[in-house]
Amino acid sequence: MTKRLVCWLLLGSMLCMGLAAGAKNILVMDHIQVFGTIDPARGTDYTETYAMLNVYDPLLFPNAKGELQPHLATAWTVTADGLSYTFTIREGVRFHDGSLLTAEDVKFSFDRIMALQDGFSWLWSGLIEQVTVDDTYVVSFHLTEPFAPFTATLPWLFIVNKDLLMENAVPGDYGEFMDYGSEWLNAATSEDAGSGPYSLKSWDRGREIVFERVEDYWAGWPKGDASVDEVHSMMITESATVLTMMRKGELTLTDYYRGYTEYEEMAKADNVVLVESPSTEVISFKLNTKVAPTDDIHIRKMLAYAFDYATMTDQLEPGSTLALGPVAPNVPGHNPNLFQYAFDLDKAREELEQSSYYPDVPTIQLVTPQFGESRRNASLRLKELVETLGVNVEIRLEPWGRMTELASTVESTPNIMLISVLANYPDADSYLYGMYHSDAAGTWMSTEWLLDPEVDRLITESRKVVDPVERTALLYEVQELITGQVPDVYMNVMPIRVAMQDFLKGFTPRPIGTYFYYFRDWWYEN
Amino acid sequence: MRFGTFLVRRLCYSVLVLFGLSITIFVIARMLPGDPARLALGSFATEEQVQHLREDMGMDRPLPAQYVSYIMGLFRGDFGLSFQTRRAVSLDIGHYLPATLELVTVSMVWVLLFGVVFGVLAGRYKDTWIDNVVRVIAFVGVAVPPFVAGLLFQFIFSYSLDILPTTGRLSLLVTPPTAHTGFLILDCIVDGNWHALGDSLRHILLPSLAMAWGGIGQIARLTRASVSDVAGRDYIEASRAFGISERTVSQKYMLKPAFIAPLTILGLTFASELSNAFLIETVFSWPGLAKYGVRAILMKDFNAVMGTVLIVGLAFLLINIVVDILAGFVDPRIRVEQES
Repeated sequence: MTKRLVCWLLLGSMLCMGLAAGAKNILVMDHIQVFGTIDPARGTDYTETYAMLNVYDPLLFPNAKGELQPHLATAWTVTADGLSYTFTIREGVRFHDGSLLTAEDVKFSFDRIMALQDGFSWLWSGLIEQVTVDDTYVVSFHLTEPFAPFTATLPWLFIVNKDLLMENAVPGDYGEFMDYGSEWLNAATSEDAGSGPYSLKSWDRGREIVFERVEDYWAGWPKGDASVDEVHSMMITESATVLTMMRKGELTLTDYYRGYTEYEEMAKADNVVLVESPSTEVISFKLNTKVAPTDDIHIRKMLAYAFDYATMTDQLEPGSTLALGPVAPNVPGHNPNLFQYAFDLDKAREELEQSSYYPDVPTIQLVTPQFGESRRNASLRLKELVETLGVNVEIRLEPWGRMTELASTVESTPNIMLISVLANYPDADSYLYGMYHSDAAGTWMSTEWLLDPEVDRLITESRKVVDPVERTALLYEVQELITGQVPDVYMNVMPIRVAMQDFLKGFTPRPIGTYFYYFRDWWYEN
Repeated sequence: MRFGTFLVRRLCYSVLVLFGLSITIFVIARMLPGDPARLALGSFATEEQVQHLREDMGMDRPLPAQYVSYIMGLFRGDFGLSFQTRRAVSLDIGHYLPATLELVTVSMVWVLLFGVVFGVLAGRYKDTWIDNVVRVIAFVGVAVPPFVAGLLFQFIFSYSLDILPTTGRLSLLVTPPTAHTGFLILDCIVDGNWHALGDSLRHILLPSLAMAWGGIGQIARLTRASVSDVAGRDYIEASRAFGISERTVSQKYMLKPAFIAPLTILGLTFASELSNAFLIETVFSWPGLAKYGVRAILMKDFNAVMGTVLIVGLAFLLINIVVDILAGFVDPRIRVEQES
């Protein structure tokens, strides 16, 4: 009897161990928009970028502070004139098909994205003269002019498998490179050309995309078997559905696009935790400095004093922090010493009375995006407060497509547009050039129409100076100059909020794009 | 022969309707705010990149040339490229359409089954408690929007009772069948994948019922009115007087003529289901064409908008032809009118 019992117990425990060994850590997350493509030369949307950064590897990888760490590149040097960057490529890295990654693949990846003129190629447009392969594992980028933030942009250059893509290339517009393997890569549903920690397991467009852990990934798995083995990302736009699934445990991790109250609701479930961390998204009322009445600095100052910042950070977007200037505080190059406007209707009135338009101030046109309840409420709050000073504000809701159209000329740009700007790369230049340099005028990011030669000069110079101390001083100076002209009412910095099951650990915020959705960081506890 | 002429004429009219639809949508899609190339490439794309994509997609040509090129492509089954996915729109439609058609088909089955049965019962047992219950169900069906019904069903059956899945067409860990047709239920049967079949039926139950909700109410009310109208006719009284069994009277002499009115609005019900599909697909994360189409509109993806609208228009026209043919079979008087 005892012997029989022991045998059954042994058998049972072996069965359990077998099951445990076969059991996978599967993570289910949701996304709110389709994956248009995961071709690293084409993707830019949030879903596309987090697929790319998990399936492919970049040369440099940002840490939680936005500082760039060696990744595929183990070391790099810059010439004194800032015109050449030489990278030593890590040896022994293999693509998912088993082939070795070399400097040739790096050159190919760069040439490919620039030829296709898609994805993040805009970061290097007109900037790179050529890329040369100096040795099997050494590659150099030769710039047309010094560009200090160059290395900060490299997290968006993902390295693809040249041989695999060329094997699958079909006739196209790129000479000997045919179509660069684009058609094959865009159609692939279970193959990829990457070397990243996860490979594309399956892709049922509109339903879900599945990533599978690469066991022999070159950087290893610090958490071993506790690491996430498979990630299923499903498209779920309805918040009520996400809430139900989180409560039931059908979802492990949510997207970060839901409203604050929805995350609060999810966090009420025993098994769900809410994680908040600072993002790089700065929300501001962008003021057109070239049309009446916001062409008057006193009107702009009036608006800056009239806004109730506490309502924004405490009620409309709880968890967000006050913005200090155009650059988010967690982005390198942010000037922490800028003047901070505070809600003060008396000061607002003083500024108004100094305005050349006073007392007959023309109606101020404010355009706010259709989507986003908190942004509509922020606009209403500004209107409500400004109208107590006797100035009319007219609010219009517009779809994003229309807003980008309005931004194309000075005359069509309304007095105020409520827009948020995120850092595309961990550098203050990511905001400053796109928002305030005259070359960027006419885009949604630059509806201020500042067109200031001195600002242009300082921004241009800050892009060329390689010495970090000197560069920081320039960045600080230009931010002072810009904010002194009050081209924006900088409201708040949004937090990233995600809800997750309590057994998921390792979520690591990084101040660049969707780099916080790096599956390799995560593991399951118990 | 005369029926054949009727069919050919209807098909020709349908082609004309589709042609008109294509021009209308072509113009409207281009009037929507926003630059599709800019929307596709993202806000930071350079003007050169945007222009490159515009040229790639043929947007730099005059509108009439673009339209002619598009129509010529249609004859080859080419709906153009999607700005967003950079894939052929025909591929996208081929991927998403079966999911929507499957959902709408199952939903229409519920509409016919429950709508007609409830309506017949209510008409047959007019002014009894059966009639009253059916009338309440019908009113609730018409009054409650499908997406509200969907959310309610999710809360009750998926969350509270936890007996049905919340979203999607298939559970994550269930091996899907080979995609012979894209219709999951059919593909499961063809493959003999009974586990997946059971799972797919469980998944389609709630969204199809939520979608059918309003249609059931409409059909039930119309069938009830038709049945009670026919039940009072002289020939029904005469049939009973001649000793014909109640079953024959109900099924042969009452049901067939009573079914004409609901049949004629089936086409409209189908259109209503298609238009509600987007909401149901959103609530249940159903990867269908309606959601794809709405996204295409928001992103001003011209070719995807055109393709979606034309396919939905074609489906609507075909369904109405089928309904008209069925009406002719049910009521010979209609067939004679059609043929003349």
